[in-house]
Amino acid sequence: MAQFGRPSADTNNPGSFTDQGGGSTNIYQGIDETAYSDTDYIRSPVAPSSSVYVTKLSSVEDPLSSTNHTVRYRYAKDAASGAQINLTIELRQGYVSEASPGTLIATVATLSNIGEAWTAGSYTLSGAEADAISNYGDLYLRFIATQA
Amino acid sequence: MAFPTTGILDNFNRANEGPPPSTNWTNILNGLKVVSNQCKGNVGSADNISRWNATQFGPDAEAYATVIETADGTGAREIDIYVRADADRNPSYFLSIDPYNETLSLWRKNAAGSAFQIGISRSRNIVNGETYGLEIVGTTLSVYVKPSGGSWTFLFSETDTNITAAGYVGLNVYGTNMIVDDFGGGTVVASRRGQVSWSELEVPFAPRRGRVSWAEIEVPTPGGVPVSAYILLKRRRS
Repeated sequence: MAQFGRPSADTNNPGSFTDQGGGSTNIYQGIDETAYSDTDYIRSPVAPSSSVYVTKLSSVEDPLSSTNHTVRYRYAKDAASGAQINLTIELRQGYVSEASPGTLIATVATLSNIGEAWTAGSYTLSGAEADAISNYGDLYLRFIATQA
Repeated sequence: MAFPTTGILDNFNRANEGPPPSTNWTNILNGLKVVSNQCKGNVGSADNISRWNATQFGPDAEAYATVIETADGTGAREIDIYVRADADRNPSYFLSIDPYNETLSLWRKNAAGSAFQIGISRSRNIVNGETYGLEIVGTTLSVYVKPSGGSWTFLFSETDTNITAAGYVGLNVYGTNMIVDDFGGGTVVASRRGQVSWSELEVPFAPRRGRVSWAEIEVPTPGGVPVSAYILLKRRRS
């Protein structure tokens, strides 16, 4: 049995991410499904330059265990060919702002030259990374998109 | 849109050579040459034009070059950057960088070699060390500048529909005193977005305890000395 923390708020959006329709309100709802859906999503601006979006994860109970902590995600570039897009995903605790980003629990993904097809990724935290979590109600995913 | 999206084609860092500056260049008029690891014109008081011949770029294309020395001393000074150029630059689009008149302007040459200005000239103090760039995407020509040690910024754009095909990029350096360096360009690389459609964090359920809030045991209450025998008495009738 498992419990899930899912995007629950637009914590910070200095990179001007939008939803699939260009909206900028509650865009976390594009990535918070129980079962994934690629029909709604968040997207960076065109030609992103270290563009950042941060979402708070819903609270989960401290499992009192260091094992089986897994972050899952799906990503893509908006069209084939063209410029190279790189995507980095971080799991953080206590994020407040870019000036006060809290504790980096783990760099979940460092993706170079992502393709235009939706692709699933996952990352299992090490025991030390899981042990670094002291507040399971204050976790965030931080996405950074960059055009190379 | 980011500019430029392509790298330097020729930094001219080699022994003096030309015209043309290398086998990757073709002379169109008088030609360019490598002098002291930079690029100069071959003939004084005249246009000196070469094109990068390795491949055609575009139709969405860009080209740029760094202006090292703007002074020609003749009063007529001009550096031109070409895109969508035919082998003899007719037709072509070009950005004219004119430090003498302190202007930037966009031009089109037709197949017959006649030149037509696109839009108006923009005042600009051309400074040694600046890099100028010309980009065409669809029918929009855009001009960019980067100061020495600075970042690229957009200056202005115009539209023209006459030349639609891919072509060569090239340079014109007037006279033999003006100097350019670090010529770049190519097919514009379209910008893209990054997208995320789903994310979650899975952790195990927290372990649970069994709990008891009340308990008792029921037994009979003690009732005195057990009866172990009895006597039945009959009452006598009086």
